[in-house]
Amino acid sequence: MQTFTSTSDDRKALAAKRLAELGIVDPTDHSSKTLAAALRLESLAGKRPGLLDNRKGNGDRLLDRIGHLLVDRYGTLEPYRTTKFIYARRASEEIIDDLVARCDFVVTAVGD
Amino acid sequence: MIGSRVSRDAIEAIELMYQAGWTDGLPVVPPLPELVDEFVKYVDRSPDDLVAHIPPLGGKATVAKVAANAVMAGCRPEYMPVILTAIDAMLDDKFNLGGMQCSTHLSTPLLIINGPIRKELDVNCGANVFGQGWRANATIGRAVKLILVNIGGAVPGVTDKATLGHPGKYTYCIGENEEESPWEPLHVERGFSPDDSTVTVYGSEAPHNINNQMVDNPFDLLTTVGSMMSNLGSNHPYLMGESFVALCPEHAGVCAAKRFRKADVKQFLFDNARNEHRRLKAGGIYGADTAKYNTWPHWIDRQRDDVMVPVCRRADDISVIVTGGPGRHSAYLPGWSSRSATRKIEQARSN
Repeated sequence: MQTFTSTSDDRKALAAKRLAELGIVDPTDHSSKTLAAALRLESLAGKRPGLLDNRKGNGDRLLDRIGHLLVDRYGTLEPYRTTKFIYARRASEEIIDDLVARCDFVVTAVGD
Repeated sequence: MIGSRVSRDAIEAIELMYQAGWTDGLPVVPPLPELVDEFVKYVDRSPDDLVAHIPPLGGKATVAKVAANAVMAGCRPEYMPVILTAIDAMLDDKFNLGGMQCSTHLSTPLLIINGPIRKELDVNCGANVFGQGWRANATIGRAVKLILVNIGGAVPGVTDKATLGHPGKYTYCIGENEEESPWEPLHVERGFSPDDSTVTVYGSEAPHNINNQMVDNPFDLLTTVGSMMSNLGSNHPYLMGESFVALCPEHAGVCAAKRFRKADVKQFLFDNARNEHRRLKAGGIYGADTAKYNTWPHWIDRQRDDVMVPVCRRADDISVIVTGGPGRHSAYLPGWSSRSATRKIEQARSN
């Protein structure tokens, strides 16, 4: 991935260590919790997909195609479709709870 | 040549802070513990007090971490209450800070300061208000931007996906020119007392200049403003939402001379900053499929190509401030279709 700076993580850590030795206060925080990926399903066959349309352009077309492929190639049940109000905001708790209750896995997409 | 009275350690620290990835690309003041302590003491809080988890990665902004970034930005201790209040305002759900920081769009939080604290801290509200040259504007705005990256984790090109960004991502902080405004200032309009000091945060593009030097009436002036507001490259004709108009005092005076109140300015712009539906199909975020724009008012007949579509859902979604110095240049500040938030600066000390 192209990054903002060519400084490697190792070099950054070395610089931060030297700054600590100089008595400089660290202005950063990296203690935010990291979320582990959900366990992978062993098979998609017979599972219920959720398709979450975020309303970004063409995402619905991409999800339509993915939904067909999931049924035809992987033997999933018919997908459950739902839509965020707007792509720029997180999905509401209601939408997340609904997807958790109805689906075994969820696909979302940006198609622009 | 480095003078003998300047420690080489200080110069080394500045260089090391670049290497550590702690800066915005400009040099920063090394946050020595004694400086950080001074900033923390000013707000009379414990250094470990949690101010907020900053999006997008949720880093913990303690008072000491905020102070360290404020020191780095070149702030004075008395700027701390403004910075802490701005953080509180940015965390308002309607502001959608996390989304804004990760978007390909180039908006970034603009701080608008109102009330007596503008004078106490020497916040520029006049000539070159969006430009350089004032310590309070430059460093308060910069401290907030450093916090968003160093604590929030909005690293350009990595988590901050802005295609272009804009110079306001270094610093973006202005004061309203309340003294030369014919109208109530922004914070009073929003229910605060004139004696309160407030910070308003707004996710803003760079200022788009509106030049009208000849105008002698509000109708021509606001037609010019409305033309800038309705351009097809903006989010607003498609996504609606709130946006800001920054009128210079002379332009505001042209309106007030014809008995235009701020509400009249908003109403005129709401009625006139519009696009014909067929024209909107040339641009936008979904392309031609304007039927999908779920933020449009329900009273827009999408079956008609000749219907005129406003840039927001209601006149009050156009916020108007008066700022800047002599001359006849105003600015439109298109946004990101989130909403601004205003907070009272509670911690301010009065002298």
